[in-house]
Amino acid sequence: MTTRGLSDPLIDFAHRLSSYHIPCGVYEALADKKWSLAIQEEMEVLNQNKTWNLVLLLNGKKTVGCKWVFSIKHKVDDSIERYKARLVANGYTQTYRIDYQETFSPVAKLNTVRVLLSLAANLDWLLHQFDVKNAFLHKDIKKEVYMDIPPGYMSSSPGIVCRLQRSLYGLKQLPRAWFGHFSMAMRKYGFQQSNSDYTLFLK
Amino acid sequence: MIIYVDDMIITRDDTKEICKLQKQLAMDFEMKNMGGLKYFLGIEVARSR
Repeated sequence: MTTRGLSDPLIDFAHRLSSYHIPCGVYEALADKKWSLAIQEEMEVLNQNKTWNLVLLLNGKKTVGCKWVFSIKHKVDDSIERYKARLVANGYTQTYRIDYQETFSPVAKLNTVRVLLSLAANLDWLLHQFDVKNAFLHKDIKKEVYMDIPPGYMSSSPGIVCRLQRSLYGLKQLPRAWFGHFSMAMRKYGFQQSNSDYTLFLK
Repeated sequence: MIIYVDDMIITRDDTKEICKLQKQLAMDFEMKNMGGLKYFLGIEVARSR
């Protein structure tokens, strides 16, 4: 990476970012207390949500791989907020029609966002922001999806795999399933989905 | 109300309606209230009033 052409504060920022070390694999992470804690935390969330059952993999069924992704979350002032480990499924090993069907999911159009902001500014309306935690973990999955035991963990006996009960980051069908789930909830609250931008809900 | 994957902004003339929606959403989802809008999709928002 070159920092030429950047302003001094940006160069400084870039150097600080690259000075933080992110583990390359799960075994390196497990050897470090702060990262192994992050893994434990994520596993707890996954267990609480009953993300999978342990089952014996039947003949002819395939599993989807999975891996840990590590990141450091920063506060606005650049100090470290937390160490985060996230388990993701390797969606690219899924097979169309077997593990998933439809995948398209709309995202907000920037123009719609602008119109909304302009409306708020002109009419002096309040603007609030929310986000949904672990959005993708909320949805039950319809297809039968099997996943390998997460790296760093071991199964009690051979042939045991995770049968997914809930979506996991990285699965192909996930964004679509989440959006469908969310828009259904919004309609339940009496909102109407705009025809020109499906991510806009009006009441 | 507009949503981008799991980030959303809500605008309304009265606070009550916003609170109501927030409560409804909290029943179905685990929500995080980020308060007044500051950043959304790379747009920085600053208000003079």
